[in-house]
Amino acid sequence: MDVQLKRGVLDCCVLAVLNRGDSYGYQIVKDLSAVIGISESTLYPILKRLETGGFLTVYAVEHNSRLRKYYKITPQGKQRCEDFLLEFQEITTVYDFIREEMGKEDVKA
Amino acid sequence: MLKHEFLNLLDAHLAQLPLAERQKSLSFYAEMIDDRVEDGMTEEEAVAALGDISELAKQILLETPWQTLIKTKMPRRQWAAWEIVLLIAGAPIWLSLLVAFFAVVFSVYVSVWAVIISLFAAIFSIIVAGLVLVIASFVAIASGPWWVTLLGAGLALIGAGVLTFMAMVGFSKVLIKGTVLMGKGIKSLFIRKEREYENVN
Repeated sequence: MDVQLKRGVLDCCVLAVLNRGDSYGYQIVKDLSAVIGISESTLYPILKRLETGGFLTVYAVEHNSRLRKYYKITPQGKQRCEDFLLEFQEITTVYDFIREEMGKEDVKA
Repeated sequence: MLKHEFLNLLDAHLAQLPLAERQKSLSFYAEMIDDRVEDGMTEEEAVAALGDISELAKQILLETPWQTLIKTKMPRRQWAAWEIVLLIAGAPIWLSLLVAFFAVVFSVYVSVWAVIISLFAAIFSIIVAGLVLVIASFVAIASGPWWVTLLGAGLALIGAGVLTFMAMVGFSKVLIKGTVLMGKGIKSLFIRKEREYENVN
């Protein structure tokens, strides 16, 4: 997959998980493993990037006498997901067009 | 590998980063290991699940803005005052050498083109002479059988001219290729200089 596209998809996957409710690193990995194989080494840069961009905020909660970091989606984060869905609508339209032009419309039906 | 060993190793891999960034990364991975252990894994298993440590460090470094990386890697070099003074004071010497260098290059180009042009002019004149002889032979038909000699000489000249013309085209292609190579050679001279300059710093 194109690097830029993959980034966008992964960012929104993480944000979508957080849209359900605040979560922490290991839980996010577990939630996403059903949809897309994502490792911690991939998740960490994504979380960092989303935090810098203001799409999520971080707060610490004490858990079993240690601190656990929770991530919370921001309104900008929700907007980012909405934008992604709209963008993808455009991509699907283009996809259908390419498919048709390549003479594969029968497959689609 | 145990948790503290893993964290020490990761810390070493991230030595390039500012302290705050490094601590953030380490606490993230420490939490990951703790959560896995809580989930029922042993410490070793939890560390192994995180994957290759150098790959992990690479991902973190790649996401770091390049400004941060460069700041830690390359200190910006400034021209010292004495270097500027030397540069200006030495201008009469290095400037004239530079001009001389380009003058030599330019004269090589000019002489190559002069050779090409003069040879083409010579060929052109041979062909013209041949044509004149051929025409003259027709005029001379009335004055005796030696017009055949004229015609033959004219045709021979034209033939020689066409042959040398073809040879010349090949020759000048080689010459032009040579000058192009020379140009590239001069360019690479400067590129190598720049690389050396970078290495010095």
